[in-house]
Amino acid sequence: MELQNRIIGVVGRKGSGKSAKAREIMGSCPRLLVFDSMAEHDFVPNTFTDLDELDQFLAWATLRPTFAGRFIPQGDLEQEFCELASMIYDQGNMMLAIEEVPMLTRSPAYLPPEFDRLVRLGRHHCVSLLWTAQRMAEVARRLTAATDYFVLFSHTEPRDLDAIADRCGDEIAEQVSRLPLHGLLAWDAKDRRVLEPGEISSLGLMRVASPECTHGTI
Amino acid sequence: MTVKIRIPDSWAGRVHSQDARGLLQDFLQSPRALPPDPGAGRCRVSLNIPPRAVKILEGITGDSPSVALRRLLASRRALPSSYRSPIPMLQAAPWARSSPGVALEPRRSVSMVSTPWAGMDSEPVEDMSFDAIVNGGGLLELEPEPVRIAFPGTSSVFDEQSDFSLALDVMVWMFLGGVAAWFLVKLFSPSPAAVAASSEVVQQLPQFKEWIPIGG
Repeated sequence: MELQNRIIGVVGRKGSGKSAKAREIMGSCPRLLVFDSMAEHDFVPNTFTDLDELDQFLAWATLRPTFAGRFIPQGDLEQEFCELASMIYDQGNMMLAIEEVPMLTRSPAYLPPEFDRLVRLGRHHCVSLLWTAQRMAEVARRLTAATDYFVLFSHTEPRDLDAIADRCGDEIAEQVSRLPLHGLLAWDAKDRRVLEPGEISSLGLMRVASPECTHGTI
Repeated sequence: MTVKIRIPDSWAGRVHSQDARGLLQDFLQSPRALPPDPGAGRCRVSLNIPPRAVKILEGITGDSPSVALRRLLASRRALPSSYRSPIPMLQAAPWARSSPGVALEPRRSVSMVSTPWAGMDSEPVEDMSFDAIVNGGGLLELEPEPVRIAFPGTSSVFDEQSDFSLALDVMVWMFLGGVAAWFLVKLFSPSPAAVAASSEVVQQLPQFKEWIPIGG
């Protein structure tokens, strides 16, 4: 059975190359919106700092087979993200990429309600998620539990390795601990297998990629 | 999202979500004047169309979502432009037909007019025909005596004046009819100004940059 949406996590220490890998995945995504809290994804053609402008953009994008935009938050991160998550949930059929996801969560045990709704019910609205984080131990358990694919860069911190072992298994944690600085390992949590390098960049190719997909319909 | 609207009965079975999406997409890309609303019939249809697109259509036309969608659908040539199918007579309720041991009586045309008299001491209205109620019952006199006005000694002049005034009346009415027809044509014909205005509304939407994904 094919997935109705995909949740992809990219985890790695600063400078390990996780943003570049995330950008590679996003590059193949036909309908993309980036919550760019670090304002670093300038390859995305449409940039917004105002949610009303973003709303107009999403209206414009409704019937388009491809679009890409990024929102750079200016005020309260969690509040702006919740509004954006609500808009995306209503519109559906796109990939939402979130940089440094622990910045949105107060603790690994908490997800904002709108974010939680995207994680739990996003598949019914064809909303895929791509998130990045520096440390696995800081990511909300609710999010890691729903993640289908992990792209794991080198980790040495024992708590992070424990978190990886919890979610992906001891063997994967062991392999991650031995990775070189810019080395990575991609893990398919559903099929429980390591992905080939060529498969990683195509993770952004959602099966549902046309505006014909509306809520509840694949 | 599913949008439910009522459509003319003559459109039943001929309106599909895919067509509606196509029409919507065409309209948003090149707006044009839409025909008037053909009116809501009794037939309901669920259209699976993006809610945001409906919002934009609603904003451009200034109509409610259902009216705007009917006008959009009416612009498709395959659909009849107006609601023409006659309203069928009221039928007995299905449960009444299926109830055992109750024979259905022939339908009477007085059933609708009988309501105001229900509960009165007179004969049961179901047994009275419309004529019996209105004329035989003496409630109304439908044909009063005609009133005649006499103009003694001026009959020939009066007849000439009458012919002249009749001709004048006809001319006045023909003129008024012409003005009304011209007004209706102006009212419902596609106005270039309206097309330009709707295009302007769409053009006021900000233009965004295209995105070509890798391998797309």
